[in-house]
Amino acid sequence: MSDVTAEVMVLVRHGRVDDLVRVLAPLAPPMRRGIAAALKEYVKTRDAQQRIRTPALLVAGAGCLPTAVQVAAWLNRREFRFQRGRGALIIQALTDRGVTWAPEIIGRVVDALPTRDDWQLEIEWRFAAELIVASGAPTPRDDPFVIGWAMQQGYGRGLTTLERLRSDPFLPDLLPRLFEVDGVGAYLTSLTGETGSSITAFPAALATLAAEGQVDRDVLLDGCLGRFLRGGPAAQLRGSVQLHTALAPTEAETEARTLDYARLLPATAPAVATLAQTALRRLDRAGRLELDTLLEGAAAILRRSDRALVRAQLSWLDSVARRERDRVGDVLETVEHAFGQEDVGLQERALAIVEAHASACTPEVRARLAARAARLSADLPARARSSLGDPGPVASAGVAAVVAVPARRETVRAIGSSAELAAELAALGQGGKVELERVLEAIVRLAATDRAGLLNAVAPVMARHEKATAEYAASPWFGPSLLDKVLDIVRTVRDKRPGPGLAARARGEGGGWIDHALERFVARRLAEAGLWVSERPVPFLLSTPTWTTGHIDPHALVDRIAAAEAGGGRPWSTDMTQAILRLPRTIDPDATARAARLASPEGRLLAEVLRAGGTPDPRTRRVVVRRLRGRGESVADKARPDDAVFVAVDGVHADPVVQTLFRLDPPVPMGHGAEVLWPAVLPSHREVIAAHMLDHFEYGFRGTFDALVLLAECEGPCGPAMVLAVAYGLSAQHPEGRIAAVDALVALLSSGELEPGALGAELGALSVGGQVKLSRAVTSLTELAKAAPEAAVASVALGSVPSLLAHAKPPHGTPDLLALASRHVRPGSTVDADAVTHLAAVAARGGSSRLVTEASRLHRILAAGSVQPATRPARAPATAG
Amino acid sequence: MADVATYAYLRPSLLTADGLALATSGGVSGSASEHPRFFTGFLTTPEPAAVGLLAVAEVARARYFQPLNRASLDPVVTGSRDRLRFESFSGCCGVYARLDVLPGGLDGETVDHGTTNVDVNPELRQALARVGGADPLHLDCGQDGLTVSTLDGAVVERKVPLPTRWLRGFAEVHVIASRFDPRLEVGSTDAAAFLRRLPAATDRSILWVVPAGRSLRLTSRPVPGAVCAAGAGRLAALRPFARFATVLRAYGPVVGTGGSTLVTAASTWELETPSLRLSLTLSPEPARGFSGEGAVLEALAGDDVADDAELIGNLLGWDPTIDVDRLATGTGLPAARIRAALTYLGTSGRVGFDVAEAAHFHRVLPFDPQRVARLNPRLVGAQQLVESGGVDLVADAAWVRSGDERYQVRVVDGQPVSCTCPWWARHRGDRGPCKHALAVQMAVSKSAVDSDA
Repeated sequence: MSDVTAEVMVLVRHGRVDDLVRVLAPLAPPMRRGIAAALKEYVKTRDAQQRIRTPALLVAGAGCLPTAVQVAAWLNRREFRFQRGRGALIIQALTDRGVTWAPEIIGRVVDALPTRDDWQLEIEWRFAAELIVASGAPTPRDDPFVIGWAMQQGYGRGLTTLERLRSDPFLPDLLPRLFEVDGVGAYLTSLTGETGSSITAFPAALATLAAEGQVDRDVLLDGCLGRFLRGGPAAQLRGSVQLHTALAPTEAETEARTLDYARLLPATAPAVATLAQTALRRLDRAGRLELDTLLEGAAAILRRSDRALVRAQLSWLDSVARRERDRVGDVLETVEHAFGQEDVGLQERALAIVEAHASACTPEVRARLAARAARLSADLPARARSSLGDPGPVASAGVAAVVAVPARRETVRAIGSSAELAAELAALGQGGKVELERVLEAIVRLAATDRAGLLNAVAPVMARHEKATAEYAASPWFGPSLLDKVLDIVRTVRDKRPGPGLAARARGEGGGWIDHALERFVARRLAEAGLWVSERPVPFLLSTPTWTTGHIDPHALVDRIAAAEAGGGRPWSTDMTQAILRLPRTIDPDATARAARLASPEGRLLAEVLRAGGTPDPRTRRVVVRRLRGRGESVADKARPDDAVFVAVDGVHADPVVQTLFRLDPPVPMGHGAEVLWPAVLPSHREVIAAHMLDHFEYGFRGTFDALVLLAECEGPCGPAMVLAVAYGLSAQHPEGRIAAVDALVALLSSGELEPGALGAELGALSVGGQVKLSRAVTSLTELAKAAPEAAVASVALGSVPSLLAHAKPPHGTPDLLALASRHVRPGSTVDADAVTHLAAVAARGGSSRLVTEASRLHRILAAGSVQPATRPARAPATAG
Repeated sequence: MADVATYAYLRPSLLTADGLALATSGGVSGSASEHPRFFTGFLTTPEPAAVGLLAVAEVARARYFQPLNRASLDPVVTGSRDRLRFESFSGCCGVYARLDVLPGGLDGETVDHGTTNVDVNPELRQALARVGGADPLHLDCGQDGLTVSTLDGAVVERKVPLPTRWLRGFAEVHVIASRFDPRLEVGSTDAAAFLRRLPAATDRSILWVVPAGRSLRLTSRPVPGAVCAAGAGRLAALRPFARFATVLRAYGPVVGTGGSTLVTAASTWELETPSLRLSLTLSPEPARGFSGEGAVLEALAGDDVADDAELIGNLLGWDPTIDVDRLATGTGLPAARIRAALTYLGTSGRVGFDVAEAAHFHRVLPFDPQRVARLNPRLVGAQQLVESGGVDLVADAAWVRSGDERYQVRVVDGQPVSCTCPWWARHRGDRGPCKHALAVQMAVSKSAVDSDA
C-alpha cells in the first residue's frame, strides 16, 4: 500500500472529510485506482460499517472509483443509506478530478430513490438534493423526487414553510409536478416539524407566494383543477382543496374555468364537488353563469348521495326558479332529480320547491311532475296528490318480493372412503370449512371396520401436522387445537390405548384455561371418542346429525339405538347426551311409538324425552354486568361503555353435562373456540346457544356473526338472548356481520319467531346506553326493508322510538331511524302509545332540526291513520330456489 | 419478474379541438405495423365514452390489494370489424375492466384489425374528464401513415415492470368468465343506488347479491341465483359511468347447489348504454389475483387439444365475436372440440370472452404470453413430479411423493377430485388443482395412452 493510499485510509477511518478532499485533489489517475482498490476491500470489513465513516467513504469513492457507473453504485450502496451526506464535497471531489460525470451520477442516485418506504425516501432525498444543488444539475422531475421534496416542506431550523419556499431552488421546476404526481397530495397537508405543524402551512405559503408574484397564480389554479379533474381518493386531493381555498379565485378567474368547475360536479370527492358548487353559485350571483350549464350541473349534484350538497343545490334552484320565470318548467324538472334521493327530508324539500313554483309552469310539466311525485316515500305522495293533482294510476314502486332464505335442511353426506377422510382432516388443519361431524363419524366407523385403511390414509396428514406443531409448546390458555383433538382419536386407534389427558377431558376437565363452555362440550365428546374408540368400540355414533343444522331425525336415532341393542355394545354417554339434545322440536308420533318399544337404558331415556316432547327450555333473562376493565385495553376497548348487556340462563337438567350449559349466571366474560360448531350443540334451543355466545356477539369479532345465520336455521323460541344477538349483529362494525344479521332476521321474521317490537326496544336501549352505534343499525334496517315485510321493518323501527326519544340527547342516527319508520309504517298498524307521546313531544319543540322534522313527519303519518301511502302490493314471500 | 414492458409511442395521446387521438404501440395487427391504426371517425356519445375509457385506465393504474404504489400499465385496445374493445387489468391482478364501444357508438372507418397498447397519459385523463356535451367527438385510434412517415422513431417511451402474473391473469379471466351466466339485472336508478351503497374501497368482505323486487340486496351466503361481490368496494370504478347506463347486469358461475363448499366466486358487473358496455370482473377475494386461480391448468396439462387449437388459431378472423358453428363447418370438427380449443387459445391470451354476448372474441395480447404459460409454477411442479416418478397410481386414489411428504389424491372416474396437501385443504379446488392433482391427471392420461398402445 502506497503512502498516499495509507493516508487516505487513515482519513477515512477518522471521518475527516474535508482533509480527504484536499488530499485527493492533486492525485493522478493511477494513484486513485490504487485507492479505489483499497476502498473496495475496506468496505467489506466490519470496521467500515461504522456510520461515522460513511461520508468519508462516499467522498473517497467519488474521488477514486474509475467510472461514473461505479461511483453511482458506490453512492447507492445499501450500507450507506443511513448516513449519506456531504454532497457538496462529493461534487467537489468529482470536480477536482476534472470529470463531468455529475449529471449521470445524480440521475442514477435519483433513480434509486425508494418508492415504497416514505421514511427512507425522506432521508435519501436530502442527499440527492445536496448533490443537485452543489453541481447545478437540472432538477429531476421523477415521481419519488417530487414526493421527497414535498415531504421536506414542514421541516427546517427556525424558518417557516413560507420562508423556506421563498429560497427553495426546486420550487419553479417542481411546482407543476406537485399536481401531477400520484401520491404527493397527502404530503401537502401532513406537514409536521418545528414550524410547519399546521396542515394548511404549505397551501397557504404557496398562495402567499402567488400573491407576491413569485409564482404564477394560473399555474396553481390550473394545477388544482387538473388534479381535481383527474380525481382520486379524498386524502390525495385535500392539499389541492386547501390550496384552492387559500388562492380564493376571483370571479374572472372562475368564469374563465366555468366548464372545468361544472365537470367536477358529478363524480368527484364531496369536498371537491362542494368547492365547485360554491364557485359556480358565486358566478351565478354575479349573473355570469349560463342557465343551461347551471341546470346540467344541478342535475348531476341532485343524483349524488351527499346530503349537504343536495340541500345546498335545492335552495340554489329555489332561488333560480323564483328568478327565471320563463324557464320555471326546466328548473322544476331539474329539481325533480332529487325525488330519487333516499332521504325523505330531501325529497320533501324538493317537493316543497316544486309545489311553490308549480303554478308558473305549463300543465304538461305539472302533470309530469305529479306522476313522478307519486313515487316519493312516506306521506309525500299523498301530499303531492293534493298539491299537484292526481296523477292517476301509478305503477308499483316494486318493494321487496324475494326473500332468499337458505335451504334449511340440507342432509349431511357421509364420507365415503379413507382417502376422502384424509382430505377432510387436512382441511380441518387448514381452517377450511369445518366438517367436524362428518370426520368424527367416519373415524369411528372406519376404526371399527377398516382400521388398517384408516391408519394408512391418515398417517401422512398426522405426521405432517405433528412435524409442523412439534416446535410450539402448547399454551395453557388455549387447549389442544381442534385437529389435535380429532387426531387424538386416531392416535388411540393406532396405539390401541387412549393417550394421556383424554380421560380428564372426557370429564370436562383439562383443556385450555379460556375454553368456551360450548367448546368444552364439543371437546368432551371428542375426548370420549378418543377414550373408548379402542376399548369400547361402537360401529357408529348416535349423535351424527341427519341435517346440516345439527338435528337428528328421531326415526334415525330410534334405528341407531335399536341396532346398538341388537349388537350388544353399550353407546357412549356424552354421545347419547348430544344425540338427545339434537332431537327436533316437532316429532313424528310414530317415532315416539317406536321408541317406546326400546329396552336399553338409552332407549328408555329416548322414549321418555320423546314422550315429554323434547328437552324443556331453560328460562333466560337480560342482565347488565359491569365490564371488566384492564390496563391492556385497546383504544376501541376503552370506548366501550362500562355496562355490558348479556343474558343469564336459569335451567335445571338431570344430566350434569347438560346442566353446564343450562345454567349461565353470571354470564362468562369471554371464551375461546370454533364458533361455527356451537349452534349444532343445541339446535333446538338456540336461545341457550345465543346466551352462551353473547360475549362474542357483544365484542363483535369479525366473522362471528356467521353463527347468527346458523342460529336462525336452528329451532326454539327467541327470547332476550336471540334478540340481543340480532341487535348486536345489526350494528356490527363490518358489513359482512351486518348482512349476516339481516339474513338471520329475515328468516326469523318470516317465520314469525322473533318479535320485531322487542328487537326495536332492545336496539333503542343499546343505542342510548352506548353499547351499539344506531347509525349502523339503520343501514342494516334499510337493507332489511328490501327483503322483509314492511310492517315488520316498521315495527322494529317504531319499537326503538320510546327509548331513543326519552333520552335528552337522542343518539346519532335517530333522525335516520325515524325517516326509515316513516317510509315503511302503514296506517292502521298498532303502535305503542308511548312512542306516539314521545314523537308528539319532540314534534312540539318546533325548529328545523332534522330530529324535529322527522319526528313530526312520523307523528303526522301515525296520527293520520286514514291516509293511504303509495300503493305497494304485498306479495307473498317466496323462497329462492 | 425481470420482464419490462416498453411502451414506445410516436406521440402522446391527445385530446384537442380536432378530437381524440389515441397513440398505439406494439401488438399484432393486419398491417403488421408497429403503431397500428384501427379506427378513424366519430364517437357518437363522447361523454359516456370518455368516462368509460377513464374507468378502464383507472383500473389499469389501480392496486386494490396492498395499494402501496400505483401500477402504470397501459390498457390494450382491440379493433375488430365493427367495434373497439379497451381492456385493462389492475396491478394486483384482481380486477379486469373492459369498455366495448359497440357499432352504435362509432361512426367512421375501420382501418385495420388487431390488438395494441394504447397510451393514456395524465394530460389525456384530465382532458377526458373535461369531455361533455352531446356533439360527436372525432376519434383516431392510432396515427395515420402520413404522420408516421414524418416522425423519426418513438417520441414517447416508457418502461414499466411487467410481472408475469399480470399476463397469467389475462389468460385466467377468460376461462373463468366463460363459465358465467347472466344472473341479475336492474335499471339505472337501482343500479346507481346499489353502487352507492357498496362498502368502502378497502373493505374485504365477501358478500353475495340477490334480486329483491326491482332492486338488489346483499346477503351473506351463496344462495341459488346469487352473484358474489367480493371486496365489492372495488366496483367503485363503475360509479362515474352509472349516470349514463340504462341497465346494470351481473354475471357469475352456478352457486348454491347442494353440498357445495364454495365460499366465494368471481363475478362480472356490467353497465350498458345503447352504444357502450363497461364491465368489471372481480376476483373471488381482493387478496387473490386472477393469476393464481389455476383455471387454465387442466387445459394446459393435457396436450390433446393443442393441435385443434393450432388449427383454429389460424382461422380466427377479426369478427366481433367468434362463431363456433362456422368454425365447426370450416374445420369439420365438432363444436365441443372447437370450444375446448378456444379455451386452450385463451390460456395464451389469444382469445377473450365477452359475457354479454356469451362468446369468445379474437385478440392477441401485445406481449409474449406463450412463454408465460410455461412459467405456471404448478404446471412445472406437476411435470417434475411425473418425471421423477413420484406418482403412484392405486385403485381409487394415488400417492404422490413430493420431497419428504406423501400426499394422497382421490381419483373418481379417472379424474383427481381431492388431495391431502395444504393448498387443497385451504381452497378445496376452487383455485384450480394443486400440483399433485395435476401430476395425477398427467399420469392417468399417460397410463391410458400406454395401455392403448
